[in-house]
Amino acid sequence: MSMPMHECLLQMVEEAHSLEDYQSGVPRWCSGCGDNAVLAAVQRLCRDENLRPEKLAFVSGIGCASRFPHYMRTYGFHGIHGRALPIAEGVKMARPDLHVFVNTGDGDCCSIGAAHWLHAIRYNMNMTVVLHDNHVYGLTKKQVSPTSPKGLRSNTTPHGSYLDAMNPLTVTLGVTNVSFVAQAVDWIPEVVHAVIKAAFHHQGFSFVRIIQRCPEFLPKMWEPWLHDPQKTLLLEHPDGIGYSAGLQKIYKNRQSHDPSDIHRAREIASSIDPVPVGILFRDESVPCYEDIREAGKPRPIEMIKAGLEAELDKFTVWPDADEPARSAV
Amino acid sequence: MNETLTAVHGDDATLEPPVAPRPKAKPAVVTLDECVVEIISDSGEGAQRCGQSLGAIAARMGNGVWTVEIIPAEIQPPARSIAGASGNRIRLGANRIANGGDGVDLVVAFNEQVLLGRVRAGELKPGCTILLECMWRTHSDPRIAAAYRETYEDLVAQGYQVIEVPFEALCKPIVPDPRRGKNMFVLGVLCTVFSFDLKLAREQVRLTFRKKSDAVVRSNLALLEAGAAWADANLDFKYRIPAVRAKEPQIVVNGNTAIALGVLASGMEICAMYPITPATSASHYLSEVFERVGGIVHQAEDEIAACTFAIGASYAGKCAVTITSGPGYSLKQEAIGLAVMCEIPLVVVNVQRGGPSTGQPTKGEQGDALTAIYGSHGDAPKVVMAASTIEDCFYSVVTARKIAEAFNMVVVVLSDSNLATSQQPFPRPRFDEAWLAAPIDQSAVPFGTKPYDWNKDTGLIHRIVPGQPNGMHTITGLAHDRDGRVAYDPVINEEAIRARSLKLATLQKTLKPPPVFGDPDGDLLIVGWGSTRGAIEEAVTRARAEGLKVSSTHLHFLQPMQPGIKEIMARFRRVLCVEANWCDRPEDKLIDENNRRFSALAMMLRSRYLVDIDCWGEVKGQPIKPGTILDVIRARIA
Amino acid sequence: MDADVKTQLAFHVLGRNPAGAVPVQAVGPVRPALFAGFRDLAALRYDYPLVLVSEAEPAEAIRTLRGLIDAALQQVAPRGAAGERMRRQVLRLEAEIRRRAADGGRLSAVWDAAVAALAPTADDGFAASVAAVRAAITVDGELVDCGAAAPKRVVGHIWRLVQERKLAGLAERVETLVLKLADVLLADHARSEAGRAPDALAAAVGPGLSTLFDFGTMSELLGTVSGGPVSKRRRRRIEAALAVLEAQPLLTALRARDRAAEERALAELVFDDCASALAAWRRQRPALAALVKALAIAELEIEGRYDEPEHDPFFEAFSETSLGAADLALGPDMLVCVEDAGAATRAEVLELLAAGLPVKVVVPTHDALGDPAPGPGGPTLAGTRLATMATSIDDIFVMQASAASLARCGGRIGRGLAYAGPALFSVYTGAGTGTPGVPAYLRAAAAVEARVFPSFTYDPSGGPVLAERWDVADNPQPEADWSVHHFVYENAEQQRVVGDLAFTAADLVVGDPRHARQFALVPSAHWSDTMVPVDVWLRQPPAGPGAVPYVTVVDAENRLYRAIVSEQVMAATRRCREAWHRLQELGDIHNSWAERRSRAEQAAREAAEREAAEQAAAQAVAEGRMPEPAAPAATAKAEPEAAPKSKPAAKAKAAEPEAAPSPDPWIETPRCTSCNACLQVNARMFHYDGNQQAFVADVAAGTFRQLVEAAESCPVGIIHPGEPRNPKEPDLDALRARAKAFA
Repeated sequence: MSMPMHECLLQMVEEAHSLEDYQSGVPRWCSGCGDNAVLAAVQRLCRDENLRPEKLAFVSGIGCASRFPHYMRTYGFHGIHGRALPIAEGVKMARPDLHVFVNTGDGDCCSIGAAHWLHAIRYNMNMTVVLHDNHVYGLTKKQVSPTSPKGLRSNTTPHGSYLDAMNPLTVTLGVTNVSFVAQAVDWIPEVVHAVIKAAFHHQGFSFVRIIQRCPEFLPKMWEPWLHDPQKTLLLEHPDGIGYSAGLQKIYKNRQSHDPSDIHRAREIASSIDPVPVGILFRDESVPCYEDIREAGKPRPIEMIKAGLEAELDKFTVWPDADEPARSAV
Repeated sequence: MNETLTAVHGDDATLEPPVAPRPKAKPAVVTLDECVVEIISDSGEGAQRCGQSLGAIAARMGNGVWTVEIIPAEIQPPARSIAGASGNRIRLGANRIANGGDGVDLVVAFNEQVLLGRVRAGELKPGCTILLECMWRTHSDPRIAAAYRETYEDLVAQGYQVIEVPFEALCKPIVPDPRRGKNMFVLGVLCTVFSFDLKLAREQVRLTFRKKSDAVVRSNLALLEAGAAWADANLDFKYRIPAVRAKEPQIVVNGNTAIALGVLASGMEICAMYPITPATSASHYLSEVFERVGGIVHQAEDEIAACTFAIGASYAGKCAVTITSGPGYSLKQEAIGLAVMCEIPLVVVNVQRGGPSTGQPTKGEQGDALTAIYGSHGDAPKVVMAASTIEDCFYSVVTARKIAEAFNMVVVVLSDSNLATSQQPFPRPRFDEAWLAAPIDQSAVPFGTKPYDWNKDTGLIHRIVPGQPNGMHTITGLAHDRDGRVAYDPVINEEAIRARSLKLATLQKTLKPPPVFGDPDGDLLIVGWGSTRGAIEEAVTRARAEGLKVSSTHLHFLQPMQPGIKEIMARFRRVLCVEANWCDRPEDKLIDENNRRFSALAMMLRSRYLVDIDCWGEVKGQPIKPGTILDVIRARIA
Repeated sequence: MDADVKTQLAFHVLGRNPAGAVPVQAVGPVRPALFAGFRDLAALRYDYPLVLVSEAEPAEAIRTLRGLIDAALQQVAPRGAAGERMRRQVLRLEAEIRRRAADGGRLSAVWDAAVAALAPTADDGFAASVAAVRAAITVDGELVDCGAAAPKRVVGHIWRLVQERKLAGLAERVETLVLKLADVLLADHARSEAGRAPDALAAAVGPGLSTLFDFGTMSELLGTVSGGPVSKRRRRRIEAALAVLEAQPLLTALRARDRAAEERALAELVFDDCASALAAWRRQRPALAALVKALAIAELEIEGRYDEPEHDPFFEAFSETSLGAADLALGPDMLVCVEDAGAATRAEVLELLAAGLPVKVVVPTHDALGDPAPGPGGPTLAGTRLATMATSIDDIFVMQASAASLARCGGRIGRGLAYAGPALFSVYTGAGTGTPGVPAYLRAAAAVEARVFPSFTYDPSGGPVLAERWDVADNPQPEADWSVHHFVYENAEQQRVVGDLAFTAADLVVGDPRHARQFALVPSAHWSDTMVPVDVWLRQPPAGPGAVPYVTVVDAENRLYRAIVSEQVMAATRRCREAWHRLQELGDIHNSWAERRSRAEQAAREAAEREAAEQAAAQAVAEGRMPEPAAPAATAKAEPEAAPKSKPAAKAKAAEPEAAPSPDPWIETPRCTSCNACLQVNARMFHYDGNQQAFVADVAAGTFRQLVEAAESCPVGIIHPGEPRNPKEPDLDALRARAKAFA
């Protein structure tokens, strides 16, 4: 079967993109920050999929991670604190042809933007959402975040924080219409890349939590996990992601997990020791809000005109007596 | 009067309600210039539908019409309560009518308690005629019967012409549930009273019930006929208001419907909103029709999400609208600032209600002008327009979309609860393709094109939207340079703020001076904005008829302000702003020129033009009456 | 040798009429014994008439009257006697409709007419019964009876459905492209000076508030910024593509739902011979080329990917000869119906198919056996080869079927019609010469049973391997050489004899009067053991002397004979069987290679097991143990390695041998998290690779101290400083000590 002509012609002018085509500026994150790992993984994804930079929109809120769009040579919208998701939803609704990514931090997503987070899961719009979870507020210089471990001494909790940490995975898995949940840790770049790639290919709202270390304010939190490979649980499944031989050699704590099993996914999600990585849940059958609302449907001028005239007809008082005949036209 | 009595709609057949006692001969038809009618009832008895239908029939007859909804603040207020009046005021006239008028000439009330509410609010003209449901007189609950009698006698004593009518009893042979059917009976009665063409009335009833079954349409038609026949046989008064049928087709809608139609006509395709009174009905109507033309009403999880969703859509190339009211508008402020900073076109409709805080959700006020102009932190220049008629509600949205996209600005359109629920016929808009937003530009931009290449004179930019090859950039709410990059450079920050501010001046240069209503000079100039226009102009007309040298001007743009206002004001001895927002009363003991808080427009005009402008305002939640303004004019000129 | 045997043998080999054999003409027409039960087909509930259902999926578009009625009865008939009664009444109606089916008409109309005809003689409740069943039949369509016209009507019906669907898709695509192209021009206008002209601005603001504005000034001020209009060349190109897309009559008809125009346009695509189809194609090709070109330009322009230096020369050179298969598949397909009128027609059809046009060809064959061959006589089977030959063109869809099975072929026909290339539907109708007095339906069915006209589909888009492209499943007993049926008769002693009869090609030939001379009838009195049924003969040619092959036949009175088969007919029968074997193998039944291979594997496995057992036994004997049965392959569970307690992950090097530490510095690049820490120490010494992961690019660009510092700053501890290169570097001892942690 031959290829339609316009596709051949498109390929004639198709250029292969390099990593540099997606890079913009020098990231201003602290050295050792996991955001760099996510940035590298996302740029690799773009290059590997040869995505056209003008078709990408990275939306973020406020926080360290939300600087992300500035370092992508694509379209980007660095918005306001907590509102990355509704902005991204608006973008996707207006432009289903764009690939929409959202970069949000634990404060941005789980605290000030928590309402939007829950509803974004429910809308299930086709976008890739990366939660850069470093368990602390960095940009505002060390305050507790909803995902901070209990007892964290921060500038607002000098005697230790009072509450148990929120688990973004179990929250997400508890919301109606959840369709993709995955987790990675910033110190295993292979998994970060694989998980973001799977998220990108998922049709629907794909939520990826990256567990990150904040080298400035919370550098020690994940030390034990870093030093003991047994404390990391690789989730593997034909429908999940695969791991390189090298990685399997280090991380022997692996478990088969079928991403269609939401109950098991919730159990796995609630564990932090070992910390599970890989795809926890995936359900391609959940309809996307933009599809339900028929976003991007062509709107011929005649259709708008006919619609408006029909509505005006309903409210019109015609000057003549033969009005019904007129309004029937 | 016992307000806690609850109604029991008993079917006690042994207690026959009295039949209207009036003896009669065929009454002479009295010709009137205008008449104000109210139909009031407990919520859910259909008085609003009756009133709207009457207004529509009058419009079909060619009369001037203005209808005002009387809405209780609660969804289901207790029956027979003074605060629970639900219904409609219809002002009918021989000429164009632009407000609800002063006092009521004729009232139809389904119980005496809701009527009392209107009497106490001073809405009734002295000696006006009242058609009062009289089944309460013989109610099985002695307290209800007593309350009715007491009120009846009180009203008669006050000089009102009270005619008792057993509406329910009259409807009972026609429909099984007369409580729900008597509104159409009353419509028939009023059609006879105003000598309306019953054929038009029948058509209106069919239109009103077009979504219902044939049986429903038939029984409502039967009620209409019965009411008309009953009035013909039993009432000894009958009016005719001369009418001139318009040459052009007119449409009869309320302000919120007009806004929704404006959204359709503007070519916008995304409306993101969160329910809030009194703005929601615009979104209700839009939801019903928008999908048919490929549009989407997105009910977001909150006001902030609604605004940021609209901003996201606008950013991506489809200028969007968010419709809200005061409390929602407050919540959107940060997001509006973002749109200003990023120069994303956005239309925000604020259907104002009484404030601050939750205030008076169902009542109108012009309290948000300053918030609209100065809201959001930092210097956030945006365009603020105000609709002054129902027709304006329609065209303001079309215009706002165009300005928003041409100038890459946030355009706030102010309406208020009075416009939202009032109906007035206006010429049917003739659709023009040019109203529609241009399609999203996806053509490649030349390499090196800057997203914020502010023009040094106008501050304008040519926006690049996602999808345009070579145009990739990141926009940010942070201070940024011409490339959109975060900038901490003091020079570029000032340059950017200057450019965003300049755009207002640029827009101002494209505006014309507002017209003056009345003579170009005189003793008193009234300046107003928004929904008060009809009342102000009527008051000016009446004052001028009394020989007073008064004129008025009405502002469509609050920000930037139209040019020439200073010159207009200079031709009058005194200038008075009339607004439905608060200004301190000079007669109050502690108020003097050092502490007096002026009404919003007065404050802005004083600060801009250094003219000693006086102001008068009223925040009763009711539309300001022309008669009230007339009194103010008389007092100011005296 | 028995005299009978001798003469029979002489007939079989030499064609001389044997003694004791009756010339076929003498007993009147004979027919295969298996046909004995099908004298009156009209009384049978067979698959015809068909109902061509409109507005249906292709697979659901061909229904049988019987199927519709059975389904409806299933739904509405009550249990018990009442149900039986309803069933009887409705079946009477069904028979009446079947009688009327030859005249065609819509099912609903014929139904009503049949009901009216039967009503006067019907019993109580007839009207109610048939009305209930009628109500349960929700589809309607034209009736088609079995006959010469059936293939064209059935394929034509589905062709129409497929065209409508396909063209509706194209129409939708064209509509979208037209809109989007118009959008490009509109967006351009909005950007242009004309879009900012005062009157354009006034129109955009609308009449309501236009008195507030000075549009001259607005135009001037808005003119201070501009994105610039698109080039005139681009505008012309877009306008030209728009013009082509908007001027497509069939697509316009579909978009406007204009049935009459659609009907006319479709009628122009149907042909009765190859030549006029070719001529029409030559006429239509330029228009298709123009459409394809416009579509390609539109897609490129909408994507903003039209690159003038690359694409202009291409489109300038583009002509109708540039159309590829995918392009041809875009437009409507022609439908050509050619009756198989001999070699010349078949050659023409093959040529048309090989030309690769968007054409779907239906070839009804009425005669499968052919006239006696000019030389030795016997059937030529000329009518059976077209489809098989067509499959050798490889990229065309081919379906061969008999009219008897068309009711089941809706899905396959639909696939062929939707296939993006030429398709051939070769259908044997049974309407030509053949066994006299046998209805066409039965002949058509028998040709499939006899493997003379087997049913098959070759779908080039089915998959990469042949087995996925070929489908021969729709044949009776597809695994067997011949279809075998029970046969019961009474012998001369009036005893019931029960046996199996294979229905071979020879059984089909025997009924055809043209080939009567190839058979000699032997009444039962002369039967002998040297007579061998044709299928047995072919499977294992008898070695014994005097053996002759025969088929069992009956005459008009259902008297049983054996008919000795001539060598010519045997040759034809053998050919049919060989052709069938080839089909079976193509359709993955009895794949000889696979069978051979599996036999070899089986043998090898057995040999290996034997050998292993022998060795084990020998060893056991050698060790003085009793031999044990062989244990399954050792799958000892690998013990998970003990978790390294607080051992730095850096030690757990990925795939690196735990050999002596390298003296050169190195980085475990795949584990790098791109955190920039090392680059901040020395960006010349450490670089990022193509995946934005660090490696040691130039050891000489920095000091050992920097290597140690980088290793210490690395959050994942994957930098190994190795040994210092410059022994004169200060503080080496301390640095070495620090580096130890990262050895």
